[in-house]
Amino acid sequence: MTENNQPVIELRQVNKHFGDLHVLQDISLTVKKGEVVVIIGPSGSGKSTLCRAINRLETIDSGEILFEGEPLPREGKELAQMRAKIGMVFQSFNLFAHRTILDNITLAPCDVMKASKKNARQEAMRLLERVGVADQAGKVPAQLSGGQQQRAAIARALAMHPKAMLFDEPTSALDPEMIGEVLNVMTELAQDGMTMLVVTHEMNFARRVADRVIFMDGGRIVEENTPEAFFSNPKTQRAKGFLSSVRMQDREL
Amino acid sequence: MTLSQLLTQYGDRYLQALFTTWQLTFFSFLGALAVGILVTVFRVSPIRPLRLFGDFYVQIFRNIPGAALLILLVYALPYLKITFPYDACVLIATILIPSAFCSEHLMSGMNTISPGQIEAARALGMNFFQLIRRIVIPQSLRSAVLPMTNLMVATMLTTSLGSQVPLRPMELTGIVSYINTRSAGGVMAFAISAALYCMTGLLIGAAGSWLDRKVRILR
Ligand SMILES: Nc1ncnc2c1ncn2[C@@H]1O[C@H](COP(=O)(O)OP(=O)(O)OP(=O)(O)O)[C@@H](O)[C@H]1O
Ligand SMILES: [Mg+2]
Repeated sequence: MTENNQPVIELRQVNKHFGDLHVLQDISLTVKKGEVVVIIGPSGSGKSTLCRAINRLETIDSGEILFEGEPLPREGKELAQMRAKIGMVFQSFNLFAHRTILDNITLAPCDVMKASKKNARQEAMRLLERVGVADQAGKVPAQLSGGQQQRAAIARALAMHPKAMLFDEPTSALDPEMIGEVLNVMTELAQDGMTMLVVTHEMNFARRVADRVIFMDGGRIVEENTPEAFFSNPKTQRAKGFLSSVRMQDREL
Repeated sequence: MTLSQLLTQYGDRYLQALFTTWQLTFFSFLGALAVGILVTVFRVSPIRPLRLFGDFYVQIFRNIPGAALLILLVYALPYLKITFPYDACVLIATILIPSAFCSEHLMSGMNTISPGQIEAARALGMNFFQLIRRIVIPQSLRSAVLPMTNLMVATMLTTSLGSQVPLRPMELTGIVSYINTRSAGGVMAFAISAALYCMTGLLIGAAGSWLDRKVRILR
């Protein structure tokens, strides 16, 4: 992995409330170029909110979020341009239900980046090859398996040539036999040097691919460490408890 | 008069009236669709005055009787020095009222779109218009084919407002008054028009079901 000290995503003292609920509490976090950071934590700890705040699908109450050194634009054209540079992959895939897989991928390049239809199609097919669903290009999302849809969704995000990718539990909605195919695509992406912030409970993926693991609980970053150190020797009681409960579930499966 | 007497004497006029009703229905529905889409875009726009205007528009035209609107257009507007020809008045009335219902159907069609798709589009850098044009309106329309089919039938029935003004050529309701002032057409004169309305409604219904099967979004 390329060691480069340029921060791509930077959060400084970020706070966010949903009514009385303090979902993000003084979150500070930096993801450098080429780095893969995995966020884990129990349900409701604010992982999705954190992810969504980074491309301003959620607003924040205080603090600062910088992308490539620039504060996030608040709205309008600048915000759209910034979002185009951050790929996002959702738990529920969120492909456009009325368009073919190929159209799903070419839509934003054509509309947002004003790419020519021909170039966009070539690029889309190349990306679909890369994630292994080129043979599904003419189908609509509902005709694909969950794993295929998620890989297509990754290709859709990559078509914008993002500078960083956010993954919010990309495998949580998948049947166990499809999790591997999506994680493989993500692993390759990481090996190609993509800057990635990944919310996941896939411990093996975190161990193999992450440069850093962040453990969140109750809206706070409770622990931050290398994967080896975090998994073999968690420092806080809460992380220990969480890890043992996840391992328990894994054994039950 | 008997059916065959009516048909020999007025058959051509019935045909012409049927054609006029079809024409009115077609253009009214197209107009209602266009206006309905525009109003719907207003209603979901980020600009509050536009949203309020859109909601207000729908409330007005959903609740005004067609005849009242037509009277307004034909008799009241000239006081404001605005005069439209009769056929334009009928067309305006039969566009405005269905357009409000069209917008309502689009709004409920919109509810079938998962919020995640909107977020995905936003995350890809799409702006409001790209989002509306590429994702929201196409999916809303495709989910609303059956209610829109009903709306087209309702629009056809609304075109009978044309009988309230001296429209030339006459449409299917106007023709009945015309015949009954000339000869004693009686109930049979109505029955012929009713049958033609019915047939048109069935055709629209069949076309709607076919289109719905064709464009329905797999989920
Ligand atoms: N739009 C919202 N309005 C109000 N509360 C919300 C909203 N979105 C999330 N929350 C609440 O904020 C808290 C954090 O939610 P978030 O989705 O970020 O958690 P998470 O760590 O991603 O959990 P999970 O593992 O279940 O996905 C939860 O208690 C949730 O109920
Ligand atoms: Mg979540």
